[in-house]
Amino acid sequence: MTQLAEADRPGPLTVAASAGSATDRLLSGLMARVSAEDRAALERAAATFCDRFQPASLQRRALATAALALFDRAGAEPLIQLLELASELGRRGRGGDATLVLAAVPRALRWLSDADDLSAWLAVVADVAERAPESLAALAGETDHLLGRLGARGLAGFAGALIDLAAGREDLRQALFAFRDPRAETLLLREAADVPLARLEPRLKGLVTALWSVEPVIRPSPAGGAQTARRSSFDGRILFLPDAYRGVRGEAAVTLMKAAALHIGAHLAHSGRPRPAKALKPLQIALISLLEDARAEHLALAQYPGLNRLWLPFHTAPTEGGTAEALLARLARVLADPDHEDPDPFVQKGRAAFRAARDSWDDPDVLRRIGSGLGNDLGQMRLQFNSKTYAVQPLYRDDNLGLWQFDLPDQEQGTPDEISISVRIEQRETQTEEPDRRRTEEGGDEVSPVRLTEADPEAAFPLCRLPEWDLVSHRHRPDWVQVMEHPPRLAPAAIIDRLLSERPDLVRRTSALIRQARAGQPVRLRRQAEGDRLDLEAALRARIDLAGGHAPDTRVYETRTLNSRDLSVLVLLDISESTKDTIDGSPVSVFSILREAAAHLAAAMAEAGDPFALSAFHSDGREDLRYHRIKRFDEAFDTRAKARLAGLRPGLSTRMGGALRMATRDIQPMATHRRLVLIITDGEPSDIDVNDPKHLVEDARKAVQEAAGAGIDVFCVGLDRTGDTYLSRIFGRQNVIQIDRVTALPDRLPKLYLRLTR
Amino acid sequence: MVLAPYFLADEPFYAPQADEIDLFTAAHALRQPVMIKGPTGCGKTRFIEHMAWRLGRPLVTVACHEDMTASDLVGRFLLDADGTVWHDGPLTLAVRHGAICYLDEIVEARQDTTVVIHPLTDDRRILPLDKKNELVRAHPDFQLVISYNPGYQSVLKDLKESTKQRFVGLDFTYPDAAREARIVAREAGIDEATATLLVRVADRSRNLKGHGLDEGASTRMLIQAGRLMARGISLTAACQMALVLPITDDPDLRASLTDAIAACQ
Repeated sequence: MTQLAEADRPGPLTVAASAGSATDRLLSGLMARVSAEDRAALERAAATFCDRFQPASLQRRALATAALALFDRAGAEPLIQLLELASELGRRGRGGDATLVLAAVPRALRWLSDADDLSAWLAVVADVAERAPESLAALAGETDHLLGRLGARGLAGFAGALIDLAAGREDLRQALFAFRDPRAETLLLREAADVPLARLEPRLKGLVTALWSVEPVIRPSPAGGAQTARRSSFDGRILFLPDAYRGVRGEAAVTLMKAAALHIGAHLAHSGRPRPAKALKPLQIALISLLEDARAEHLALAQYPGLNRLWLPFHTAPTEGGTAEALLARLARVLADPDHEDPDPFVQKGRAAFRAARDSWDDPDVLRRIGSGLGNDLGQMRLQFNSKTYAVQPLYRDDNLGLWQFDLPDQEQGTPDEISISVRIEQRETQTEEPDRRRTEEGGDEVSPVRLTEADPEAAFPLCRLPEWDLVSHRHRPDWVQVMEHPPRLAPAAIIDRLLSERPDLVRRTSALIRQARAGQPVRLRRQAEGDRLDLEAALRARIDLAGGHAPDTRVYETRTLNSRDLSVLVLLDISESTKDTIDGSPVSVFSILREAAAHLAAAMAEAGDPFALSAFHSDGREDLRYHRIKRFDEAFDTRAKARLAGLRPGLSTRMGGALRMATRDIQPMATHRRLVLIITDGEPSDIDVNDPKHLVEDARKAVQEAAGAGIDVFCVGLDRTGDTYLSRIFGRQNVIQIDRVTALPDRLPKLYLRLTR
Repeated sequence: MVLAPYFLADEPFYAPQADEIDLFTAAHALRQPVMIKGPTGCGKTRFIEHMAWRLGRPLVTVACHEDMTASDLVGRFLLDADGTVWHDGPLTLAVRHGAICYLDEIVEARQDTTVVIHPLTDDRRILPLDKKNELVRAHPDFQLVISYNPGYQSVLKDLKESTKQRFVGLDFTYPDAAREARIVAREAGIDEATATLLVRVADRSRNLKGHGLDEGASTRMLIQAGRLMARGISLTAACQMALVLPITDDPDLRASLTDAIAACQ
């Protein structure tokens, strides 16, 4: 430590090191190497740290080790961050936690290479220390495991998801962070898959279909034990691919998934039906499968030579290693790569036999004979083969179960195709089941126009679960939001009728406007005063009139216009707490105006004959998104719907994304030319269990994009004067209109509707 | 002669798939109305051009569209300084002077438009021009040919039964791989090995028909890709430009196609 002497003035760290122990000498040596501009900040941070941990030499020693390693790797900045974090823990009397974090640094350094990643990791640790203090120890303890699989950025999303999942329950949080709760592993797998299977699925499906004209069904592999290496699998046309291959990320993960799907594709095209495995030993099965893998790939390559660019890089078995597993991997490599030489006599023999049989590959017995023979050879070499731990090599190949018919007792499942079809039917049934159930419930519900029914929270039942977009990890959290169906609160429909009758002029004006408005197919209008071409018949008549000395009809043009309205609309009302606000200086609330506007619009749309639905939403945390269907597409805007509209009560929060997803689901089956979701909202998305409002804004934005992807337009009417920025962010600038004077809404809404549907 | 511009001067290249040239020649000798079915870009129009050239007849082509009216086919009065003047439409032109009239994508036209061809397609062979109060008897050389693509049109867009039953039919598909490769090689000016590769690529996209694509890549598309390659563009880039991008907007399907193209070479 020659630099020690160069420490030109003693800083707090060196002062604190007065004991003169080896640890403290290390620290002062570190200070000597810090550049002048960083030193001040570092000195300050170190001073605070030493302040907190005056007598605790344990922390100081941990710090010395951590600091040196961290500084060597990434410079002063992460070190300052670490000191501040540790000091903060010290200030709260959590010295033990501070030690754990410091002790985790050297382990984190194994996985994180640059200053940015280290800063990101420290930020996650600080975040957990703040929001889930009891779980910090578990997080620090799992550092290797987590960073090895997720990296710093993946960890941020994972930790956030765990904290949100626990919804404030300390014990659950602890169980999750310590991986005692199995959901943590599931989330980790999902988070580790930075290219989730779900995103690749359509692409892989299209690829296999394009190459072999077999449309596969792609499913994630059922979660298996952590100790067995994960391999893809197939069963008939159903492909099971792992959610993620451990340790494979980014573009490499895409390549691996492709390689795996295409390898199974080659089986589907060339391997024929599964063969009975009876009387074969596990080693023989492994060998015959290996030969079959090679055969299927050879045949596929004859047609698609480009596939070798995908498969070959995975064959990396070295020409050494004498275990049965190693020899199998080596054999797989020489069979796949003609340029690769392997001196092992067993491998040589396998290759020679495989090549010699080239002309009789189509005979399943040939490979079976070769494989059995090779199996006997390995047996004579007295090599152990453990079929339980054996994983097919290389990584992209499937577990070969799809090639074999094992005599399992009582196989009742039927053929894979039947299974997949029955799954689809089941899904369809569950989709349609819910509306039906609701209908019968309502059928039994006597709606008398004067009865007021109180909503019974106990009677609410879950409708479905929806995903939500995670801002941090940039992917959906599946099944995150629960949509609850609360029995509708009813009020006299006369309330709505009175609202309508109070403004007969408005009703008349809007319904006249609506009937004029057009959307749909072009239709020719003849005998127009203006138009883009001559209406020849009218022109002739005019000409004849002129010749006869009469005054001609000057409407001699024809034009084209859009006729036959072909659109469906879903109006979605935000009835969160903020709509209770009254409008400046009047006793009228935003909500009552909203309701009036909805009533007018609904009446107009009913008159125009457009299929429309009316829904309202608010939320109480992610487990209770309330989505009220006031009028469904297949109902009339009658007493019952009006009673539901009259019975709406505002309150709770605004989880907009989930509500938009529900609206999208509702309108999706409509077979109209245009489908429009019109949302009327007065505030920014928010909910009680979400701290960062940006999260729900981004989620809503994602929901709008999803709707657009399904061919559904979403338009927003904003009643919040300050809402420009986030509403534009969610819906796009073109698709938002701000209404400054809320009282004008009943007037403006129908006109706006027409502008949208023209 | 009125129809002079409608004669084809040079032989349009056409590689017969089967005996369609003989069949059409026979139908032409009988002046039977012919309908040609087949996917887009498989050579329907080229075949008709080739036959018109081979038979030495002028060819009047009309691309049908959904806004087409009967007068767009038959003709109309137009205004000029002296009053109204009748102008023959393309169909009347062919009927009067004896040409092959080819109505391309006939189902795109509205059904009430297509009925004007009815009196022409039975043994009467007449075209009544009711607005002009004239009955045009078809020239002995007049023949009507229509084409359509039964694939992507919806059930709504189909020919009336009364229209269908007036025609004899020829069914076209994409040529088999070897023949298609020869066609692509010749039309695009590339060697046959490259053309074979292009055809293999096209077959991949045809496998996706009904699995996201309405139609696979057509022979016409392959020729476009081949022409790009003849100018030194790589196969990957040419396929991307001439096949993948035009055929679908779905990013997943594009990725699948791109991967499939990579696998072919």
